[in-house]
Amino acid sequence: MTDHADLGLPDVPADLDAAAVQRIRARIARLTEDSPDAEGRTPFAVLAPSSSGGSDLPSPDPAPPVALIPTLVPGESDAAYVSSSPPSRRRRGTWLVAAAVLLVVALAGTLLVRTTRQDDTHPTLAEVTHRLAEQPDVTLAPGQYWYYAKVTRGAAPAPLGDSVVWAVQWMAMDGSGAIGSAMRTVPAGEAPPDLSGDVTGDEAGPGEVTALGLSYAQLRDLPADPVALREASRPYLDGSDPDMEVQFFVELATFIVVPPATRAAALEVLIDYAGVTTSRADDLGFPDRVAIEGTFSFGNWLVLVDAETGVPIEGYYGYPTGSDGNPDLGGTQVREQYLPERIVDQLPT
Amino acid sequence: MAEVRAPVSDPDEGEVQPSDWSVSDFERVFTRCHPSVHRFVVARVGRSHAEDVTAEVFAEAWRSRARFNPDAGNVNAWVFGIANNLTKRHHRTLATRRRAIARLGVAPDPAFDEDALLARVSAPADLEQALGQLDDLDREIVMLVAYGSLSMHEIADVVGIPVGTVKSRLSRARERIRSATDGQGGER
Repeated sequence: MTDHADLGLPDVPADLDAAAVQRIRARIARLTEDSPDAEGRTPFAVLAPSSSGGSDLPSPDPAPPVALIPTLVPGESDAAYVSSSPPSRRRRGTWLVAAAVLLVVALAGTLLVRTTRQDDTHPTLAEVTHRLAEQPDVTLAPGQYWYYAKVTRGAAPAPLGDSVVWAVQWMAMDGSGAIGSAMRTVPAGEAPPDLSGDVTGDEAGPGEVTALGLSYAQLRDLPADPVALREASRPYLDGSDPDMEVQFFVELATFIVVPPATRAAALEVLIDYAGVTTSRADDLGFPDRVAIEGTFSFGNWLVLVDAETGVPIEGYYGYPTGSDGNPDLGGTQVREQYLPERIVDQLPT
Repeated sequence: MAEVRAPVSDPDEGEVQPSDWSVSDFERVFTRCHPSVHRFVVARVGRSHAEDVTAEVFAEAWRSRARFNPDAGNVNAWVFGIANNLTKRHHRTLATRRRAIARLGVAPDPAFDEDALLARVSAPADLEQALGQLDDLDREIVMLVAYGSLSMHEIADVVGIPVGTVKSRLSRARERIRSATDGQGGER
């Protein structure tokens, strides 16, 4: 692509740091406060959940910078909520209730689910999974660490007041078994947290590192056939709860250390799952993404895929929960978002 | 009580209309487009005004979302069209202000001067001269190519001319820039 250098023009660094983005967002919020949508919402306005019925919060940076990753202190691990295993209804409740010491995740925005225009130039689901299966395998060499972030977005009800909660957690998975997590709470009405800064509430330590309840070796050994994969996953699921299964495969599909063929099989399981509504090109006109989404009994899920490679870019899993942390259709909306992952060569300090 | 909207699975419900953009949709547009839009705006209006103009671009995108037609081009080109128009309006406003100030006999603020802007982005004098020799449309195309990182098709959507015309104008502008810089005694 032609750029400034090709034309003999100087570079113009944008110098757009997180603070500048926040200022721009805040200005957009002010400029659009008189132009609400049909539901009365405006961009970047963080609303108190109890009165608004939901809010849409700006996304965090797609991958947390190294500075976000907490120092991992061996021997101090006691973080039930740092487990990346898909919470069972009981464990989901445990996670949320534990987190409620810092936060009680509550009402978030209404899930984004829409129809879209179809575009024949975009790949079919079969092409997407095929392209993904053909991608190079990513493995962890000794001394490398796998980090991923899962953001739980919601808003805290009483007794925490109008605080809006951003829970970010990530994990390093290597032979050391180090894990870590962090959370942040932002008062309602304030901008989302600047994720490039220090994070409080870190917990870290050694232990058996698992993702979705599987060790790294087990993740690597999962079968690449969708039927066999579904069967092999049963021991890690909470009985036959189909909602658990959905969340399991949404998250598994995003894991970069899982063999591409297995990730493709996870997508195929999702595609075959009852409640999948559509697969289509990105509906905002972006030519390079395919959204695969569906419903389960308590909510919605989505996996956003790079159309060129079939690689999942991110996924989310949204569900309403009651004050006890258990699924409750009359409860508040929670959205767990699985962000792009990465592998680094050393632990942060 | 939270409302959980079911995914729309019924094809009879039709395509999503631009006015259906939710705040989350807008968030995705902003996340996707704001770095390149901001860079383009910096190049067009200078750093001191860039944040405000960038915010105005996206605020206008939100207000005008009903006019976005995905069949006419992607959202990136659409947002850049807004950015291009607002930066032009910005310059017109500043030019008007400069004239008003000039009538008062007060020296204009150099931040309002496009030539000064080019100097701020470290363009050498010969390059400023080269860009200054381009007509407005050619300059827009050059700036969109150089700092917006848009494809030819996207630029065609932004400025509203055929792709072939964009290419020919870009080629001509490139030659003029090269001639100007060569004429000043140096390859860049």
